Amino acid sequence: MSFRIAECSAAAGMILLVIIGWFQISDLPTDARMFPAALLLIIGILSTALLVRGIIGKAAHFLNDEAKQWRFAISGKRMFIGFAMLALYFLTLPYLGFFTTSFILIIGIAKGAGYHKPIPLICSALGFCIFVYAIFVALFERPLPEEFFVTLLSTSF
Amino acid sequence: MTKPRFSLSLIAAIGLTVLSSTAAIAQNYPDHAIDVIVAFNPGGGTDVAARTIEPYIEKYLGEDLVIINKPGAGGEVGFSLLATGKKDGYTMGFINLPAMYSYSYERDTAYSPKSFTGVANLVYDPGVIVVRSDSTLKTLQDLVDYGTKNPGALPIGTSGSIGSSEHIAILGVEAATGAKFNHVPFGATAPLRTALLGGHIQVAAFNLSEATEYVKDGSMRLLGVMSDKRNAMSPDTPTFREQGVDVISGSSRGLAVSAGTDPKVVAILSAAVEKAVNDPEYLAKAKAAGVPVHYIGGADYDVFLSQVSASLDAAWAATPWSK
Amino acid sequence: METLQAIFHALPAVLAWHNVLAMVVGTLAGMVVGSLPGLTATMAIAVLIPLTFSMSPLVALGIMAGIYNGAMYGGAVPAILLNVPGTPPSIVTTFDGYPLAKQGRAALALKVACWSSAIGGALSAISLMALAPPLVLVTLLFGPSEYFWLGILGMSSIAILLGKDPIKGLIAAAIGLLLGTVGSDVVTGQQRFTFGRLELIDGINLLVILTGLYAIPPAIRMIEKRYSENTERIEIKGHPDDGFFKNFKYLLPTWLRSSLIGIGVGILPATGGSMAAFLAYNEVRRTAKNPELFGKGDIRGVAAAETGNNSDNSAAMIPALVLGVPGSGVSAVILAGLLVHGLQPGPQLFRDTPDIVYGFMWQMLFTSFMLFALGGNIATRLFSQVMRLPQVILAPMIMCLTLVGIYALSNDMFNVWIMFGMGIVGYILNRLDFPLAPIVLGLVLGNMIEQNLRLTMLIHQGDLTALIASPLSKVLFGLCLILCVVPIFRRLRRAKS
Repeated sequence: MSFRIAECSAAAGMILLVIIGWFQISDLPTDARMFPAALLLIIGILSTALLVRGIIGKAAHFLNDEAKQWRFAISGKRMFIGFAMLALYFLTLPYLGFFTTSFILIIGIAKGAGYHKPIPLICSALGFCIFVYAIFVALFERPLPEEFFVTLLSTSF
Repeated sequence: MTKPRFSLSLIAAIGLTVLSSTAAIAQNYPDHAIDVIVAFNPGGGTDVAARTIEPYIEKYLGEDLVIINKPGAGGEVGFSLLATGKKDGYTMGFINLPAMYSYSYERDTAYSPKSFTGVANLVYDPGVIVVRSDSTLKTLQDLVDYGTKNPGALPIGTSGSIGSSEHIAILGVEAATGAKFNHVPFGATAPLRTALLGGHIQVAAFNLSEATEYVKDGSMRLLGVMSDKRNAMSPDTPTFREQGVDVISGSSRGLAVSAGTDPKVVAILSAAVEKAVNDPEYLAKAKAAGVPVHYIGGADYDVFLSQVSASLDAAWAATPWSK
Repeated sequence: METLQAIFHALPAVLAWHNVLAMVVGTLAGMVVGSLPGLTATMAIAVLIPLTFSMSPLVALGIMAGIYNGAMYGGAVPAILLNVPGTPPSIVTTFDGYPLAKQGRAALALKVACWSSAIGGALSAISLMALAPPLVLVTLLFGPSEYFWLGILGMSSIAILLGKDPIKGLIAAAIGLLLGTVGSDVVTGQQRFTFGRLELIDGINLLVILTGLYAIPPAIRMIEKRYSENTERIEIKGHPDDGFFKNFKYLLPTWLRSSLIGIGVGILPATGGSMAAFLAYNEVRRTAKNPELFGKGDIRGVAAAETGNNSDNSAAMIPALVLGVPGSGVSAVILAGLLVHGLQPGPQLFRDTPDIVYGFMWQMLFTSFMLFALGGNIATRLFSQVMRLPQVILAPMIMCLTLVGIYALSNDMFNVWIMFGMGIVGYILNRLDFPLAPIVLGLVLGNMIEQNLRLTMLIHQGDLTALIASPLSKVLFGLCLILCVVPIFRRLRRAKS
């Protein structure tokens, strides 16, 4: 994907969102609608400018040489996996508990990215969990999703 | 620094639990910690009030209270959770009136006034109308006269949004007198109070406890209190009723559980709260912080709740404040 | 004279050993809290309030003062080392702090941030002590129309945030302003962009957006490279030119200018540290002889940002203590802390409990100085240990930390998912060269601008001239004109030549 295509698709996407937003606020009374409507209009006009500029080929003007080597992600596959793992982490966390999932996430991501020293890895993941526990749970008493294993053990007990 | 206190209260809690269970109360309630939903952010007014009374309720209930902040939608998120929560008596919540009820008129809420059983009311803060001390408006009558002669010209700032207790009260004054004012919602007390002190707005409506210190030091003047009788915090200020305007309004804060909770459990909670509210140590703290403590318990609280609900119904029927 | 006596009468109690200990503990805790993205001083103090019940008021306030000042500096640490602001105001610190770190001068940037925080905090505390009652009169001069212009004035600093491509910068600013309109509209009670979700009625918390936009994209970028390919590493190594006195003369004008701006912004409620940092950075850059150095690693940029946000601290307590009107989120929770100890803010506070009020002011001053000692070498050494972790391990840790902070806001996953969405948006915008700072600025100021404009219109029944009716609003309007028009004019002239 070249910078030009990326920029044009982003502009088009924004125009689409502006239209959706416009319908969202269409039934508000005038004074509540005024400010967001003006903003949507500004975003719409500027995105159109961006799109037109991209189509006539002036998009990369501000990046000069950088644009030629531009890539959306360093590694598209890894970016996608990264976001997916983060989403998976957020999905499972309410069920498995913060510390269990975080421990798995840290080890999983580091392993996946080619870090293969088990002892430093487990130590840093454990150290991180202890640090978070000390600051957030012990000191500031922030409730975090309950640990699945702890609940399991305490109920069977 | 906090450790000794914690372990002491733990020992006290265990001790009291043992005591209360030997007293053979039905179902051994409470036998574990009770969640208390606070529908606002940590550090907010309700949260501070909750955390101030928490240790005293714990003291008399003999069980831990765990405060859980569930902010969102002006409290509606937390209120909904309370309404739909478990009915075993281990989930209790702070409710703020009339705000909690008035949301039901503006949008579909997951609860109605019938979804709650009141445990006890803790705080009642009547509404007031205040002006700067150099204002030409001396009495409520002056205000009403001005509003009748120049309909809609006089801006009155309120500390809430549309549908706040102050807004509804102003609508009430308008309905009772035929005057018309220009309602300006500031959203919160702090900016409104500065705007009033700075002379950017001439008249404001908020709660009595938020005005008393400024009245004492002479920078503001109260035109009237919207309670049925004069308030101890400011005994010299006449009520609206005395001045011929029959409007009663104020915000209150209390504890409630989900409707359908065992009445015996509610009675136990209510009794503990009553003792806590009358604890001299708590009273001293509340007085110093300017909290207008006002205990209403048991059946009286249910009556109070239905009164608030009925007066909102009436206000809505007279002038719906939102579509 | 009487005031001076009262101020010094409060001093001995503050220097009692347990109060000093409270300040040290608070400052350290504040630095840790501030340096973790998603956790702020506001939250730390709010959750500490119940723990302070059993303490004496001065001990409790000492901890709070320490957290307040410490967190404002702590936010600079990840901003400099990772380009991830730990607190909202430290976005501004990233502008020059991160480039410095990439040039191998992270140690210097951290030190400058520390000195600047300490100096800004100290000057602000002195202004609080000396001038609290008179400065409040300035607060009272500001009504809705004046706040409207103040908001516009803040937006004018956007000119420097636009980046290479002004169209994208403006779109970003509009997106920020638009995100600020989400929720229930105060004036009409109508819901805007809430999609029927209760969680959105109060609007989206700034922290959710900040963490999503700033912390997630770099974390993802870090794991896009394999461990073996990843050679880039921020080193924290000292340099002989890093001494305080060597840089003193160079930074002094920046410190003074930024402190004044920070104090000025602080005494106006509803603005807060982010605006102070933005305005100070803008002003220092505007008046510099060589503004082109900014954004590429000029220590004056770091100094302006950090002085600006720390000098907001004590000043924000002025309207809070004297009027009961908090100037920022943190000062609001400190007020709550005072209330818990039976200290009601307002004029009577100075009359009835001068030892505690002035004691707190001393604590604000001392904790600022403590930043020098605790923030300098100790913190630098500590954080250089953290930075030795490989990026592939650091990245998932950042992800987990964002969750903790955002989850704690309302104890559910809703905000976490918004943050995730913002992370994707931030990644895309970042890659397409949209600057992110205007989004945050728009978010900070949007509500203030819209609401005060509409309040002015409501009070004056739609009369537009009411916006410039008072002398102060005329002055502010003039300032806005100068700050907005002059850069455009300059740009045009530069384009011609």
